[in-house]
Amino acid sequence: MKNRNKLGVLVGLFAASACGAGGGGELSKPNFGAGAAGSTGMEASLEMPGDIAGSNPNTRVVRLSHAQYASTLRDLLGVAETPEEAFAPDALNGFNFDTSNDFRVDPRLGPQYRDAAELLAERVVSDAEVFARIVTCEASDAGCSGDFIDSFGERAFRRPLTQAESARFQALFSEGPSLGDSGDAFKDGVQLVVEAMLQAPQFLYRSEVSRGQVQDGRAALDDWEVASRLSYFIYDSMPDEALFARARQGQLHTPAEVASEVARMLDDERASRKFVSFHEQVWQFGRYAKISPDVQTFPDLPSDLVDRLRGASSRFVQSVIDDGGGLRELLTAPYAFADSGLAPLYEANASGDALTRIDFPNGERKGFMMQAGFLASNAYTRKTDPIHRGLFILRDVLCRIIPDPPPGAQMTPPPETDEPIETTREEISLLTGQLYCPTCHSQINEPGFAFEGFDAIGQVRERENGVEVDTTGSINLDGAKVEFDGAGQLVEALADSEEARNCYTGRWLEFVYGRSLADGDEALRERLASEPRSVQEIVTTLATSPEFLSHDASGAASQAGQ
Amino acid sequence: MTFRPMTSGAMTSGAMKRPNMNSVSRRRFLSGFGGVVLGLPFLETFAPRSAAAQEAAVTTRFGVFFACNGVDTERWFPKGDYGPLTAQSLIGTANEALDGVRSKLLFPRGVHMAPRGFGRDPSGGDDHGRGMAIKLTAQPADQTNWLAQGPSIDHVLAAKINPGTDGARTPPLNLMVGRPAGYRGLDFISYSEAGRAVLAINNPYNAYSQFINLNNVSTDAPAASDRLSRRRQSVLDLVQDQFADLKLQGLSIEDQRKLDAHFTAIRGIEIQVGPGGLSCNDSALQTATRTYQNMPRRDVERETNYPLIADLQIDILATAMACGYTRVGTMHFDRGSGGPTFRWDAMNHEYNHHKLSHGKVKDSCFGSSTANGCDDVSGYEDMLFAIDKWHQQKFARLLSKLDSYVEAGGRTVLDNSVIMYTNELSSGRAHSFMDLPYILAGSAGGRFKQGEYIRLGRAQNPGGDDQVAPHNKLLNTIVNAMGVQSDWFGAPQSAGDTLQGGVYEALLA
Repeated sequence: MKNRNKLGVLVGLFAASACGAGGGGELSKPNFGAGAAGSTGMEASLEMPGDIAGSNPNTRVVRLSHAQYASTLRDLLGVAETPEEAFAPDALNGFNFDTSNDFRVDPRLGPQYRDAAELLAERVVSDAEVFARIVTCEASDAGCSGDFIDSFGERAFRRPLTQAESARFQALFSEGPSLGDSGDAFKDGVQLVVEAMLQAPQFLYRSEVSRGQVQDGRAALDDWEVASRLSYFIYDSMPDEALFARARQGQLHTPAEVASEVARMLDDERASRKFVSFHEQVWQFGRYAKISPDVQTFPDLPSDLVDRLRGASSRFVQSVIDDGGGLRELLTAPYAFADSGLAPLYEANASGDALTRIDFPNGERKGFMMQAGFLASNAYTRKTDPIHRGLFILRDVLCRIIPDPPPGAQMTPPPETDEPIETTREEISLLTGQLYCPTCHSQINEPGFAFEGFDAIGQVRERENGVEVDTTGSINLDGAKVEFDGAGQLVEALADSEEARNCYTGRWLEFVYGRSLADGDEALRERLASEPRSVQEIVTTLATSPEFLSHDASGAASQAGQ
Repeated sequence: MTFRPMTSGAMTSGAMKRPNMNSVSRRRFLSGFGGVVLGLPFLETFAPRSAAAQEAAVTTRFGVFFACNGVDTERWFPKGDYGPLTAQSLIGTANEALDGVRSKLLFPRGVHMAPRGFGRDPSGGDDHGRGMAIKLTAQPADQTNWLAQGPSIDHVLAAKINPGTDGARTPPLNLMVGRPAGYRGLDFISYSEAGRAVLAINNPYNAYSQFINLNNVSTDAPAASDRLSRRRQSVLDLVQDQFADLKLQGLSIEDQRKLDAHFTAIRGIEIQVGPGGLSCNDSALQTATRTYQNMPRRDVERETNYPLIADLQIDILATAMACGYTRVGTMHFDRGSGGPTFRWDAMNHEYNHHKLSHGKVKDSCFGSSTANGCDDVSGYEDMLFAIDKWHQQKFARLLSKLDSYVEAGGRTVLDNSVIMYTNELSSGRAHSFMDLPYILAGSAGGRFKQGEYIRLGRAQNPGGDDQVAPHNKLLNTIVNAMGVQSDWFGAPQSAGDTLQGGVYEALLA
């Protein structure tokens, strides 16, 4: 099973195995903790043939995501309205990002691509502005249909058409009068060509099929393919004219050439949006949807709390990136954003719906994990949820493999006590101190308890039920035990750790490649993580790396015409 | 016909032309909605393949109605003895709303999930995750992503019996109401293959668009419709050449398969748009669904829309199955470990379905223990009962709608279908995988008993002794009833002691 292999790789990459890692070796390992997969005797019965969910490291044809399809159409045609909202939704099948390289065209989506192509082609010939944008010659000019086919085709396929393709589309163009109904043969031809190009796999997939020079088992991409890689990585859309021009001139394959393009592209607001989107996904801001604080305990919260919190978290990420920050600042920058509805959570003021920056000069709050969005999304309706706050750090900040609780664990009540339980920390400690639970919870709980200085909606608190909160604990980072008192010290330690950096850069590679990490990624990941880098530096280093500008030529069956 | 690389010259348009089931079925004429007669040219391929079927060719259908978070098992099952359902059987139970179609219901009792939950058989997922992944697949879930390791019954059946040709049949219509959580396998009940979940459509406009041409092409003028057909054929011929080109670029086998699947999906589309090609069209649905056109997902998923969308999705599913777009469809209500807070139809709950299903809404109260102040919410059973009744009213809506279409021989579409009610758990409070709530509605053209309450297995703790009634066998029974011969459905025996092959003869007429 592919995912299981990936797990094995991950375990190797991060030298972490289930709950044993970082625990200093004092933990016994019951068999369910031996790994997220494989200790339950399932190996025999679950080995499935064929490709399971996830990704194929050697794929050369990657279907555009629905978002990419839409942005590509907007850039290609200059239309504002795109039909992807109605498309059959894609299941990510366990992959972390919407950039999966494993999207398919199933029987639901196939007809929708056709219908969308017909709608858009109709639009192209009925809207003079759009028409003028893609047809730049006069219909009466000699060779105008050929010019149109070649120029529009180059942009639609993101590379020049082959001679065979030009001839093919020319033949279709000439069928315009018999198949169209506008009475204008040229327009009918344009409509047919657009309709067909938008259904061609060369448009719907990013294909990397050039046979570049192979060196050290990797084949160089051609300049057109580099242009597409860059633009879908940074813009989430097709290349712009400047990139196309570079590709046409054959000036888009050395690291220096690519670096200058990347520098230009980073100024585009689409770059900022794409990189914010990475963080929204890697840190699961989507989970804010489940925030529903108890109204009696927390009156006066705005009714659209979830949307406001999402906006505020994304704004923080954007601000850090724009200021040249990276993982360290995302984890520790002492400010947050709030509008008038959120500001009271920070005992601050803001007016209206605009997000205002709120500074915490004494470091009362640092980084996104000490902001209301993260804290409230890892809480119950009244109480905090230290288990999931801690689990987030282990799984999502440190990429450690923490297995799910064994069957029945979630149904296990805490032991009966003579004294009433007063604090969440006490309750969780009792609950997870039973049976085999400490195997994992001895690692999970304390990083979670570090945040007990914040309540279920992220407000500062010093006491819970009259008892002073205890935010002390320890965590193993980079193989050493680190003590902390409070979330501030914890996030600083995380920001300094190589483990967190390894995790973060590994996620970037997954995001960029649209697949789980593979063995061949390790060298690049190590380079990226070798020192603290800003987001912009990560993007530039990644995009100019030999790995990014080539593909693995060792594994794929390269026999033509299989 | 399989798509294989050829030189573009050898790939002629002639190779593409073939009888198209979809176009034929679309020509079926619905003369309006509510007590309509379907003009049915019976199709040979729809004839039952099972030797057991004595009937003349009947278009059977299979639907799934999937509720989540378990039920109040005390008040869900029919009252009284096993045997024929009586006037008293359903009154006072969650299924009261189904009394009107009582004579078309079959309640199999004592069925448990197989592979089982609670760690008895190996499978990934928490109890809810297993319930979602296993219920329609009878396959364990993987440990990492909780995805079922085999296809679900709706996809298996659609690939065999839906309009189209082998390898290119219409997929099942998978609909839902609610908000996907994006957490592992919890959002899915349907799988096209191992580990490949199908995210159901939760926007009614998008659902309806699945089988109504988005472009709403006018087909009144035969000349225009003929031109459209020829135009699409020309475009498709060219696109086929583009596919062939790409496949010749040294792609891996896996990439070639990816492209083949894509091309199969588009060549299977109806090419001819005949007069009356919009026969699945329903003006009321068209109007009602338009509200959701281009509506952002976040707005569609607001809970205030939940009851409205539930009704629309049910109507869309019934229409799609009745008009011949698909013979297989599913509808699920949000997901296990979630569900809306019911604040409509005389309910005004404070907590969402999942919380109520445990009877405990206090934070950090686990299981059914009342230790440490974890008291039950006062009246939670009645709230759950109200939710169950609401789901069964929706089930009744689906059944009545299907029952309103009369087909040849005086049978209704419901009679010719089997619509399965199922849930990812039985008791939500105990996360039980045993004694599951099941209803089979409709006889699948005379194959199932009707109006009966039948004991298939013992209710408690199945395994190791007699009277074990695994649900994989129930699924296999349905597969066979739909005319597809099958000895076994789901994971192999090694995945769980209680898995069984064969069919439940006791359910068959």
